[in-house]
Amino acid sequence: MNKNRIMFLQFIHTLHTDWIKYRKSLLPWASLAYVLLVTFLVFIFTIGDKRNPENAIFQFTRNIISVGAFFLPFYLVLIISLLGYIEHRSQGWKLIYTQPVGRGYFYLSKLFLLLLILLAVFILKFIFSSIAVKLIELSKHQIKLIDFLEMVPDFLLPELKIFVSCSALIAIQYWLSMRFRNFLLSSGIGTVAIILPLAVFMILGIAGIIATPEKLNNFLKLDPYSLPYSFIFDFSQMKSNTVLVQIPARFVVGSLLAGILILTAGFFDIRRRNIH
Amino acid sequence: MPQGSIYGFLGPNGAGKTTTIKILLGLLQTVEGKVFLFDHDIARDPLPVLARTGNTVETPTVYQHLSGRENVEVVRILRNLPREKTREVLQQVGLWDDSDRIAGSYSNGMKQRLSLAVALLGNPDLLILDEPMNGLDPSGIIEIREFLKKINEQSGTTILLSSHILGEIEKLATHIGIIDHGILKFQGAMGELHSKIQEFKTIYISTNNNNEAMSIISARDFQVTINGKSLVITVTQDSQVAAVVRLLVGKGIDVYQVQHHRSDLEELFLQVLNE
Repeated sequence: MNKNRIMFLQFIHTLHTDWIKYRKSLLPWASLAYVLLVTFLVFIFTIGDKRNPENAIFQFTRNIISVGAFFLPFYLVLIISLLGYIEHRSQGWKLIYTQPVGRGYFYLSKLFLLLLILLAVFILKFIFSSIAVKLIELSKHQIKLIDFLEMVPDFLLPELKIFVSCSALIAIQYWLSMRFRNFLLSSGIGTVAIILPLAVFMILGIAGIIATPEKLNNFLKLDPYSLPYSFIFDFSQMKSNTVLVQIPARFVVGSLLAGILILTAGFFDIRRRNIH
Repeated sequence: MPQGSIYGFLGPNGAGKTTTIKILLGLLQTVEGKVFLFDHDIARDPLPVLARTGNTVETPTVYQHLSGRENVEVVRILRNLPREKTREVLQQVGLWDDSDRIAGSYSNGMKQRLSLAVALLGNPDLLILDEPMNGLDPSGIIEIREFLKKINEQSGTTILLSSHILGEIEKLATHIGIIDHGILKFQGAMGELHSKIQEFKTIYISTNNNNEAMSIISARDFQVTINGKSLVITVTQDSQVAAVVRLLVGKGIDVYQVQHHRSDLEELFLQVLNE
């Protein structure tokens, strides 16, 4: 058998075993909970909104993306920390690293599984949003499922940008999760990295130390953990019913490059580490 | 380690048994020197070694949220082995009937057996087992012991077995190694052990007057100390035991008890550690 085929099959086998390990863990439930939370919050908000704006379907779609982006870092920190924790808790590293399989396969397989889960989350979010729109349509006739479906292609690029902007977050958190045995430590570092810049942002804003919202917003964009939701705080543009606020491309590309760099460094670090 | 042997790897807590095993399996890297197994450098070329090796290190590796069968499946798929192997090894260790139960609900003994099943999956030439008797009740210990003997006899699998239960090693091992503070202090076949043991024996004697008995015995150049209610005497031949008893009785000392109650392995273990 040719070498590439052998490597591919080994990767598939490793991915299969990871699927067996994670399908019964908290991971799928956390993913489902994330999607449900996002759609439920926007559904409640839209149902309860008495203003009935003209462009209601635009606002609904934008809210789905914004709320999703706000909770995305929290969700990512949780599931990535779980990826490593399940191996640490079961002393699984000892088991898998003493099998005749290169260590790199395990690193790449878990990462690939994570990307597959994120893709599933993306699709689920679309399905749940469609169901929510259909339910809202029953009481608010200006919101129609057909309009929502027509609008989706316009939102694919901003949604994609949000996911890509998570690259640096994913890379850092993945490394933390593989390295730290303690779940609270790895997830705690991630959570603090999300909340701290936001807290500073609010304090600086309230205190008026940084007066312009743009400068405040740029401050959030510099933190890989806040970047995915930073556009929500672009208040001036978010007030509009027609403007689609997006993460600037240079930050998205920056996060992607940083992510690739950190993941590559992590790959070599995790491959050669000692298992105590 | 001769092929087909059962090698008992002994040492006090913290001696370096688990560290050595982890180095052998490539889990830890050595600061200096190289480790070769099956003619492969484990640090540079571990996969051919790991393909021929099964192991359990320290506590059993069990994914608590998976069933026993799924735990075995994880390794079977990684090793690209046929499906029937899962059933085969689970039956071998007597876990087939419980294989659909969540492994987290298993007793310690069952978890040990599950780990053993996983270690046996690839029909290993070398089985490295770190404290496999830990947490087992007496019947579990006997079960594992008999099982290992069977594997060794039927498949010719070489077994490296680390344990601090000396009695178990003595019942199983054909060869032993004793490690202390990271240094291998003794290594050899059980036969060599017996010949080494015959060099020195420690005898416990209880008398009606231990202090006087001690001065009588030490005057004859025997190495003697008092340990509680007994005199502890080091001898090299059985005839010296008889001579000591004759000497004491001849001096009017009543001898209540003469004991040599330690097993050979315990004796050697202590001797080696004290050397």
